[in-house]
Amino acid sequence: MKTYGYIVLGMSVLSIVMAIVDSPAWLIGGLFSIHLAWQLLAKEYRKAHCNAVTKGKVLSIRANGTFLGGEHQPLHDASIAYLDTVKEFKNLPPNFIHDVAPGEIIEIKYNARKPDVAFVNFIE
Amino acid sequence: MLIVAGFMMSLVLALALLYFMFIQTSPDAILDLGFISYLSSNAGTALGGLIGMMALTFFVILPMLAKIPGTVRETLNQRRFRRPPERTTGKVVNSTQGVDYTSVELTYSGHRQVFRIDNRVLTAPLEPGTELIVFYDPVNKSNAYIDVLGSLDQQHTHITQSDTLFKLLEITPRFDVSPQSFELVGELYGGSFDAQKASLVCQFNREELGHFTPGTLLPCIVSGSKDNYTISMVTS
Repeated sequence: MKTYGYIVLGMSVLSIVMAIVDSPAWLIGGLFSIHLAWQLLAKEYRKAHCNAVTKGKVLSIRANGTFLGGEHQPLHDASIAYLDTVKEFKNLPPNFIHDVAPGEIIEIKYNARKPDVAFVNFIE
Repeated sequence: MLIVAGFMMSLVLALALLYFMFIQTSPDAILDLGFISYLSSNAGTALGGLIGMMALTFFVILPMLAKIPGTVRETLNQRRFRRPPERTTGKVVNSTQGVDYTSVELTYSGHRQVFRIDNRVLTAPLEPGTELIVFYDPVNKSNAYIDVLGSLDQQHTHITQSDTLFKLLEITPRFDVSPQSFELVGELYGGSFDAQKASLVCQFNREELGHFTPGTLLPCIVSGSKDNYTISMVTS
């Protein structure tokens, strides 16, 4: 994902430069590629800074209506209580519902300097 | 209303896209030959392209743009620490339970602070004297957060590794207190409270009753004096 992210980031930089020197039409492609680069790289960047580990209690899990490869593989959103807050963890993998049940305690990785930035430490 | 606004916005964006992609980039000679009037007289083809571009902007570009304010707001509302936070243990001074949140007054590192904790994080009401793990900004001590479940986990480990045991001799329902209340009568083994008889009223679910048969040994921590002491044990 990182490699794709860097390629798209390069494309977005090129588009922005071209939008300035050539035509504003490049801006459309630039915006698309910036958005795509953000989607591909932001998660990786945030994950790299989540070095602290704590326990989290799963409060609820529900399918969010998006699928990974087919209708039998729905992605899930889960409300998890950790530290002193409750966060909605989005787009968890399909096997999350099979391995974790509401009420269970699981491991959460978070950024100690930004405790609201956290990930479920779950093997996909 | 939002759909109308989105439709109008996508129309504007699609027209802008058409302008930048076809009209602005077309050579003057083509425009002089009547490219615009050709497009208008062949409205079917041009309309198809316009509808396609509007659909693209409506379903792809607008949702992308709509996410930006939420992302910015979420980023701005995040708690931040300028330096790596320091870990310490704080003591609950007092707690007030509300509908959704519990206000917990805590002392840590010579500082007193009130935290607002989501009730879903708490597994049981926080009693005064309960120890909780606190992470605070060394520069600004009031910028802090609590690790509630981590504290309970640490306390659980501390109790299970204790060398003091509570031998359960008798268990009696105390429905006069609450439907989940049971009185445990037993004897302490190990530590400075060795051979001391003790009785405590606990709350637990009926499913957990199987763990409390007379003769069971339960690890515990006893603090205080012989006359006035507190027993902490894991009941589930």
